[in-house]
Amino acid sequence: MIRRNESEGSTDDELLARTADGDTDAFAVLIRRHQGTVTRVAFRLLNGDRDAAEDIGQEAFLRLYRNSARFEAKGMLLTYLLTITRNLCLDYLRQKRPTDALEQATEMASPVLSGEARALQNERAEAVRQAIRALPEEQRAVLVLSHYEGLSYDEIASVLGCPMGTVASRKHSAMASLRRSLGGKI
Amino acid sequence: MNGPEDELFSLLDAWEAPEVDIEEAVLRRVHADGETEALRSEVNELRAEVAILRREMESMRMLLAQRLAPPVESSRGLPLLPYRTNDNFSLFPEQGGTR
Repeated sequence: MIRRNESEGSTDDELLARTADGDTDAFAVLIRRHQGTVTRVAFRLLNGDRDAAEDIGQEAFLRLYRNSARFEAKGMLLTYLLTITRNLCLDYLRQKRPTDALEQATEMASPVLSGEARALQNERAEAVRQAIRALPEEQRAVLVLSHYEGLSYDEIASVLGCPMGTVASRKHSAMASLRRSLGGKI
Repeated sequence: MNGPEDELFSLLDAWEAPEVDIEEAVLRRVHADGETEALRSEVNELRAEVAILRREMESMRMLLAQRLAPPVESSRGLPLLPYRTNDNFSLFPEQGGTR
């Protein structure tokens, strides 16, 4: 347990270096540290498909593990993971037109709510999901990384491989579209 | 930030993402990946050994064919190419012998 506590305090770069040496305990810390962000991003990029988001999250970490000896994190591990995640999501969406994930969107609503409040919450969540789903993928990616995960424009530019100015204009367009489509719900 | 903007952000937060734990599944796949890699390397080693054995068998087959072939005779009945063994024959010509 001492080892685990020590690992929890290590930087991503240190953990990745140890992972490259075959230390799966170090890799487990990386998974625990970033799995939330990776699966949430995949979930929203895939329009609420939880199963696919889990699969893609696993695949992203597996690829990180396989490339751990070649990759130098330099403080950018999460950016790298999110780049892999987004590419996997794009591949998935290209291969398969996802079915409507209404059940999953409903299932994830907060369990502390009940009755009418839960129904209202579900309705709002579904409206948001549909509105975000209608956005062009590039705008959706910017919105998800910026609004939901709090990444800076600089970080988003690294993930998407585009200039910061493009990130800003995509965010602006996305917000304008959402304001139009969700105007009735505000 | 103005009011409607705040309300839009607040509305966006209505779409929650589930908390997913994939640690165990990923580590299981990493383990399976390692086993697959070990098996693959074992298969590659076996393939290399099989290739060496094949080459040795081919050399043996050629040597046997050479020894069992009847000597060629001249029109006068004398051996034109008397059979003789190649004393320098080696299965491993790269180590100094010749075929």
